[in-house]
Parts: sequence; structure tokens; C-alpha cells
Amino acid sequence: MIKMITFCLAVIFVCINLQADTTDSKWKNIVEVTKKGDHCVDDKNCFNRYHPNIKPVAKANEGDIIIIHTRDALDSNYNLDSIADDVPTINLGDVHPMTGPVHINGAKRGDALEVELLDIVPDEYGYTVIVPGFGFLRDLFPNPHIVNWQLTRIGAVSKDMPGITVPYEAFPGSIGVLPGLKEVEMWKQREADLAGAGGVVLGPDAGGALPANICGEKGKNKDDCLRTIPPRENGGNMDVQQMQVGTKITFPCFIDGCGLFAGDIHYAQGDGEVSGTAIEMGAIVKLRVKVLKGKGKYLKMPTTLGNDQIRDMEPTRYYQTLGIPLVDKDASGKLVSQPYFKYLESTKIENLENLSENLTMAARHALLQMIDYIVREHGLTKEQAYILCSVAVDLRVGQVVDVPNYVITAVLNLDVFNKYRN
Amino acid sequence: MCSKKDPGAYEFSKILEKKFNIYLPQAKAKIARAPHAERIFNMLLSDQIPLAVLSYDLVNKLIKDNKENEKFFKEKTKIIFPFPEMVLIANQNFPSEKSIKIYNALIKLSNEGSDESCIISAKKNFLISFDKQIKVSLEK
Repeated sequence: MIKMITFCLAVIFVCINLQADTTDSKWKNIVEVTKKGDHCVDDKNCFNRYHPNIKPVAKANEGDIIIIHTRDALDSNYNLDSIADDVPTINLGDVHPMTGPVHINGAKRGDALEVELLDIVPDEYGYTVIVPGFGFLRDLFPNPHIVNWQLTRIGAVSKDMPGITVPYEAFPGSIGVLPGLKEVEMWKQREADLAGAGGVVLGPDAGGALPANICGEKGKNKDDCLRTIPPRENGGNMDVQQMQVGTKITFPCFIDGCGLFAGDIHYAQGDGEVSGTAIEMGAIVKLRVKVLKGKGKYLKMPTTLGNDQIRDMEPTRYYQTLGIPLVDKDASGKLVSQPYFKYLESTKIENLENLSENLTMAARHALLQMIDYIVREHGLTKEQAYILCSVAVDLRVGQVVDVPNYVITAVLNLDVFNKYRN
Repeated sequence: MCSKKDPGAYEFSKILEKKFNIYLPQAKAKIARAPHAERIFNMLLSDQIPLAVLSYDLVNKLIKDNKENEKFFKEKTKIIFPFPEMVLIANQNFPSEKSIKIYNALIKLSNEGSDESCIISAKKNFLISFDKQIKVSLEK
């Protein structure tokens, strides 16, 4: 009888084993932070300001697979039916919704956190906009514009950009860790100093700030919650396209548990993100972390470690323009007043056509030539060309020695034109 | 500015934009469409966009929905011009001298009578009051 039972159990065991699919073989310990509701305000896992008092919504260990469901930079206000007239009503107070923070067990202030980017699953919809008053050429593109993209991992296409397919090269526009109290004070002060001197700074603003109980109008830290627009030592809105899947980004930790967050994922972006936006989308981001004990002190800013990611992003064919620090002229030949130097109140440079060792003007010079090229040779409108530059043109430093004319180049990935694709 | 969720308001705003460019070209009128009424409140209150076109239906619905909305319309906004189906409102702080310029331009449009939807049509006992200078002008 016992032999019979043993035999039957063995048969059942073998059968069960035979029925097992490879999908059933698991090794990952998953920590998932999901989205709830239409907007950040509806979601306890979402915030849009930085402060160390923001409570973690999940805890993870080294080696866990952390899955973060993210919202787009402008908090889900656009869809495939959106039009240019929808752009001026965006609320900058909603920028940028971040998912998290995730407490990393065992990590302390002073450590470093290595974040390995495992995967990015794109939403089906993305957009690129020109927002009046924002962007590198804000003085030349004062009108709102939107391009609605249909996304797959093959490429982004849009009826607003005929003949163009932008390759999938996703990365987190924003990813980082929370600052400590000391950092909040320090960064707030230096930004206030700059604002006092007329610099372009968005100081703490409780309008639309989340979490409301900490950063909102009645929040207990409303005057200390940092805006997400500038990247800082904690990372955040770095907008660096080389942070591709497969790379490891390392951050200095400023609080115990680090407070890891991500959001504002970009389907693709050129180096420069010149119109002010990339192909913006919601996405699911998969990460894995490692704590580097005591290594925070070596990091002034986040760093990225990669393998072949940059090589894989390089175009197979390209067109390049070259810029030096020359001030552009209007149709009548008059020098165009530049928005970038107003806070310096420099009367010395007002009437100079050639500036010295100035990468901003060199970048502008290269970019304006690129827009002209795209309009002239590829038949796009100026707005479409500016958008294409934002998502597929890389501004690169040529040299920073040949005084006074430092060189920036603009490199257009010609692979985006369907006429060159199979 | 109008709301995406206010049927007819965007189309009407496009008509107004065209007429503004004829009757008040210096205003350089441009349309903006907000995702919902709350954004209109925000944009008006923060002076980011000074004017809004809303249907009476939407205003009435918002007032019915909650008392905060009623308070907002009553205390924070004023009428610049009432059309048969829509109303052009502004933030209370919007300067009266600009308000009257817009009103006078729209009166010209109304008197032209080419478009029924653009004729002046003040509602009795409406919650939102007129800009003071416009009220004086109306009483004349």
C-alpha cells in the first residue's frame, strides 16, 4: 500500500513538473509602485516637489526589481486629440509628477545609490510641445505648438510630422533621490541669490504642489519644497538622453533610505531638448539598486556608467551644422536682443556681433542653421523643424579652446526621415 | 480662454478671436483651451490669462456643483460682455480701462448684427456682476 501511494505521488510530482512552463520559473523579488487616478493629485504615490519630509510609499532591498509606473512631465493633460490652443493653459505648478519615493533599506546619508535601468515600457501616446515663453529659442517661437505621437518600440510617428519616424531611445527625463534638510537650505539660498540678481529661477511655489500636506498652500514645509525643473546634485530633471536602458546611474544619498523616485520619461530626445520638451510620455520603468557604502562623498553630481548605449544611439547617417558665438540678426540686419544675458545687464555686449568663449550663442548659431536646413531641404515648417531638433538633433561641443570662437555643432539624425529607412 | 469640457465654447472663441482681430487688433487676441473649469479658475486668479469665455450652462452647472464656485464667480470675476449663449468674463483685477475698450469693440460687433451669436444679451439676475465702467456705460 505504501509503495503504491509513493508511486502515485511520484507520478503526480512528475506530471506537475512536466506541466510547469518556463514562465513559472521565478527569481525576481518585485517591489511595484503603481499609479492611481488620472492626475498626480489623485495619487498618493505621486509628488511634484522635493523635500526630505516626503514619506516613502514603498521599501526595497538591494537587488529587488523596482517597478515604477510614471506620469508624463505635464501630468496627463494631453492626448491624441490635443491641439496647439491647449498648450498655453498648462499649469507649471503641476510639473513634474514623480512616482515614489522608494526607501532603500540599509542606505544611509553619505552613501551612494547605484540605480541600474533595466527596462522602460512606453505608453502608446506621447507629445512634444512649444510652450510660449519657454525653450531655448523662446524669443523666436512665441506661439504654442503641439505634436501628438503614436508610440511603439519601433518608432514614434505623428500625422503632425509627415515622413518622420523617431527611433525608440527612452530614458528617464527625471530620476533621483530626495535632498536632505541641509541641501534644501543650501540650494534654496543659492537659487534665491540668483533670482535676486535677475536670473531665471522658479522658487518654492505652493500652487499645485504635492504632497499637499507638506508642500501645498497649507503644507507645513511649503516655503522649502524645491521645484523639480532644475536638475541639482540629487539628479531630478537632468534630461540626459545617454541614461539609456542598461546604464547605471549613481546618486549621492542625502537622507537615510535615499528616497528614490522617477518620472517624466522621454521616448526620445536630442541633446539640448531645445523646444523645451522631448517626446514626453508616461511609462513603466524597471530598476535595480545597489548601495555603495560611504561613496556619497566622492560624488558632486550623479554619474552614469554604460556599455554600448551611446554607440547604439548614433545615427547611421547625419547632417551637421557648426556654430560659433555669433549673435543672429533680424531681417533688417539688426542684432537680435538675446534673452539669455538680460540678467547680467551687460551694456558691453549689447552691440557685439561676436561674443567671446560663449557656448550658448554657439549653440544658438548651430541650431538656427539646422532649422533653416530642415525647412529648406525637407519641407517642414519652422515649428516642425524646431520640434524635430528637440527630439532628434544633438548639440555637441566641438571645442572650447579656439578663442574667441568656441564651437557647438548640431547633428541631425537623418535616420528619422522615412525616405532613408527600409 | 475656454474649457475643453464646455460644448460650443471653443468654436465661439474662434469666432471672437477673428472679430477681435478686426475690431481690436491691438489686443492681439489668441485662444487658449483649458482642460477643465478648475484650470480656468487658476489661470484667471493667477493673472496668467485675463479673459475667459464660458457658456451660461457651464457657469450655472458649476455654481450648482458647489458653493466655492459660486463664491469664485461672485467675488473674483466680472462680466466684460454678455452674448446670447456665452459670457466673456475677466478677473476682478483686470483693468477697467481695458475692459471698456473690449466692451466697446464688441458693441460695434453686436451692432453690426452679422452674427446672432455675437449680439449683446444681458441676463437678468445673473450672479456675476459687470465691470463698473461697463455698468455705467450700459445704464446710459
